[in-house]
Amino acid sequence: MRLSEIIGQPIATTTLARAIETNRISHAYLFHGEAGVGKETTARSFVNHLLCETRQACGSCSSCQSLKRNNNPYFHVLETDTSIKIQEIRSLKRDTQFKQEQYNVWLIKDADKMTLQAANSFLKLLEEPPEYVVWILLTTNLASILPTIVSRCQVISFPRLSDDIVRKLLQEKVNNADQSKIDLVARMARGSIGKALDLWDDQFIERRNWVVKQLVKLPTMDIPQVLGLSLTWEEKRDLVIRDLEQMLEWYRDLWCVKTKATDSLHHIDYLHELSVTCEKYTKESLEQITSLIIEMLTYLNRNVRVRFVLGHLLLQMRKGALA
Amino acid sequence: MAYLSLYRRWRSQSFADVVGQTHIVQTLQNSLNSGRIAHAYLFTGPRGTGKTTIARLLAKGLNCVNGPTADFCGQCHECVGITNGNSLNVIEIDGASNRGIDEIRELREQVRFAPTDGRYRVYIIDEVHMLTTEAFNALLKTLEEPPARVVFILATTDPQKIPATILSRCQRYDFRRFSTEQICEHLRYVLSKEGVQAEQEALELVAEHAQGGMRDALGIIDQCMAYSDRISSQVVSEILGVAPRSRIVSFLQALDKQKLESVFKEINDLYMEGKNLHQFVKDIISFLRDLVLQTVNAADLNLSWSKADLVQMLEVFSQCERDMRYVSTTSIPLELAVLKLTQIPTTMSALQQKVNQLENQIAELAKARPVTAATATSAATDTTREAANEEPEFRLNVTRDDAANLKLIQDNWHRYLKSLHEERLVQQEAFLREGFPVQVEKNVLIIAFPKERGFHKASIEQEKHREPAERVLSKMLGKQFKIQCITGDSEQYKSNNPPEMSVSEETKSESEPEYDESVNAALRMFGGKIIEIRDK
Repeated sequence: MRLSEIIGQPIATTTLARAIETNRISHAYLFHGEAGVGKETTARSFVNHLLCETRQACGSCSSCQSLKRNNNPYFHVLETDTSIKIQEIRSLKRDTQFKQEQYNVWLIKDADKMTLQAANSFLKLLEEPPEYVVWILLTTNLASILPTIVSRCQVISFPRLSDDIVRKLLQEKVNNADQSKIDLVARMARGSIGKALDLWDDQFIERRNWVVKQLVKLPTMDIPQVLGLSLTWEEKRDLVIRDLEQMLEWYRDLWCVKTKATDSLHHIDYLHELSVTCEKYTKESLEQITSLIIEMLTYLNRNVRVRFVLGHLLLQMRKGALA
Repeated sequence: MAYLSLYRRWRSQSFADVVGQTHIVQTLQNSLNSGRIAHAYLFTGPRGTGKTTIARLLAKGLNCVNGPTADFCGQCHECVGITNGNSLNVIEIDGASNRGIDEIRELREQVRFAPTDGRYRVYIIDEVHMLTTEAFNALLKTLEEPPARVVFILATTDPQKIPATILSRCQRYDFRRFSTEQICEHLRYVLSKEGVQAEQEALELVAEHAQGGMRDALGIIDQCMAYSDRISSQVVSEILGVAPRSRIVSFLQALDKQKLESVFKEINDLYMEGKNLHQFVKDIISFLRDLVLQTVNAADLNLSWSKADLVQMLEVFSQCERDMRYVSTTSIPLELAVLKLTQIPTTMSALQQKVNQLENQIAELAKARPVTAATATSAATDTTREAANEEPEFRLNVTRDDAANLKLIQDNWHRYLKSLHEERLVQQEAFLREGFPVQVEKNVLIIAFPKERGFHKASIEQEKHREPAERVLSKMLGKQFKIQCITGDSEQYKSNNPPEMSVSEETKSESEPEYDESVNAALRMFGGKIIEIRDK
């Protein structure tokens, strides 16, 4: 795939394409951005250009062919299930020590998974690798990469795709005529085609509707019912984190409706419920609930028991509602 | 030949080329020229401030055929060898990869050999903070007394991870972050050599973003050069994914006018353009800071906020910045912050006015209604509370007269207990509540505990409880006082007791006979007052 064929990442692709044209190829790149916005696709395309005999990613030369077959000797992918350890970096050092006459690219996926020791032992090699070695590091979380690593790389950021592009890509991939679902998923994916595809398969839409239904009912529940709800909630941390973000969006929408700013609602399909439910809350209680949800999200990230968080949150949400 | 990125190509090759760090360069130059060479140097400082670069320069200065000199030639085989990294006498070790004790033992073996044809054997240990504790300790002896003609240069970004025993054996040089001006100037120099045009504003943006790291700055420039022929602020902000300052201003203006719709639209636009909202909030915070410090004039930008408003906004946005770390849709915390800000109906100054108004009203009310006898006592305690609040450093004047001091302490015993409480020494307060001051001997206060309060006495006699209690006492009396405890019969000191205490004692002794033996036992053990006794 050529860089020019990649959709939705103009800055990254132009920078890389021009780097190839003008022969200003840095020895280290760091691609960062949400999952599923095209980092790896772009990286592979860049490698395709670099290793191609014509530098055009012609697709027909032997190098391009071997890349397609995934057995090009000059392109290596470092990918681990767990963390990247110091042993892996040591073997990188061994593998790169021989002099090369042509570009030799290492793609390191999830660079944020490097242990502190691994990252530190990578520094010298990253800064001054043997000639013709090119590092490409991928990460979804720039903040968790050592500043000393970041400072040695050309940092290329991959922003979210626009809703239109996600919609278009999604349509191509799933071949489904259900336009309203495509629209909804594209908007929910917040600019990540990878996430859009996940959501498409996942029971995500059903889950979202279920959560909203509970939240609509919540203000009229009595305390035992609220506790019952918190006890029957599925206790999977990842799922609950997503549910809480869902709740946050819901209460944000309620607050918007309350302040009559209804242009950018996330739950545009629940307008009626929003306007009914928002009567149950005051602005102050909405402020409190939203801060509380964020606080609970921090707790979930710090391994507090899911059940406690849910129980506390739901009760406080109920308490915030007017009788 | 492969392309060499800017930050490697423009590594300083002589002391004269080095930007900034004059305090270090000067010292090293002088020591090279005067031949006073230390055997161990430690270079510390944030990333991209020139530690490795200067370490290599120092190595050249030591080993150049004309040396040791600060003006090494850069042409001789030693200098060239160091630049290319293949000198036999300058060994660059990656401390993070060779961090174990075995590698250090190996190093100690090698150190014994004299340099081949150079003057010094220089060991540059980079990222030295990653050595293990054992490795550091194995290095100690060698580092303190290496063979002649061996120089160690340790470089690290994390000096606090280095044991004190290593630190004390090295000459330590702290590298500073580069100022924005220094970075701009160097970038201009590099770009003029590269033949690339650049806007001043763009360079400033790069320098600001680099946060004092020259390598970061050159890295960004490298990227900009790949992206466009001309480096404009537009290009830089696109590359960095930050919003230009004009958008921050227009965002704040819309917020000031309470135009929620346009604020929300702006947030959504920024989000969808893939701008880093986290960075955007940080930029807002630094902009608000400028407004508070009045380096930027709010009136020029049509912003109507007072200083108090700005401070409050700073608070809300700082909270928002923290929240963003835990919410994957980063636009939501920002929107919530905006909602929060628009919700506050009156500005801070208006709020202040209201408070003043209320205060005046209260004052008038108090004047209008004289204090009645019934409320007198509560009013009195209120005033003491207020007094304590107003003057947190409540002090008593001690004299030389022990008896007078005792009286003073006894009269103010409840205040002392209260200040213990305020200092969060609740335990001590609880223990001391059971005793009472009976005697003062110079700077020792003797406190008597009734026989049945042995637990309280024993507890307060423990060092960990006594010391804080003594501290508070000494603070109150403005003089060092020690506390000593005795088991004493309360009767003999009865007459000296503060009035309210004797009252409670009396009521207790009066009512005691009415109760069952077990109740009395409980009373003795726990103290307190009996309110009600209920049968099960």
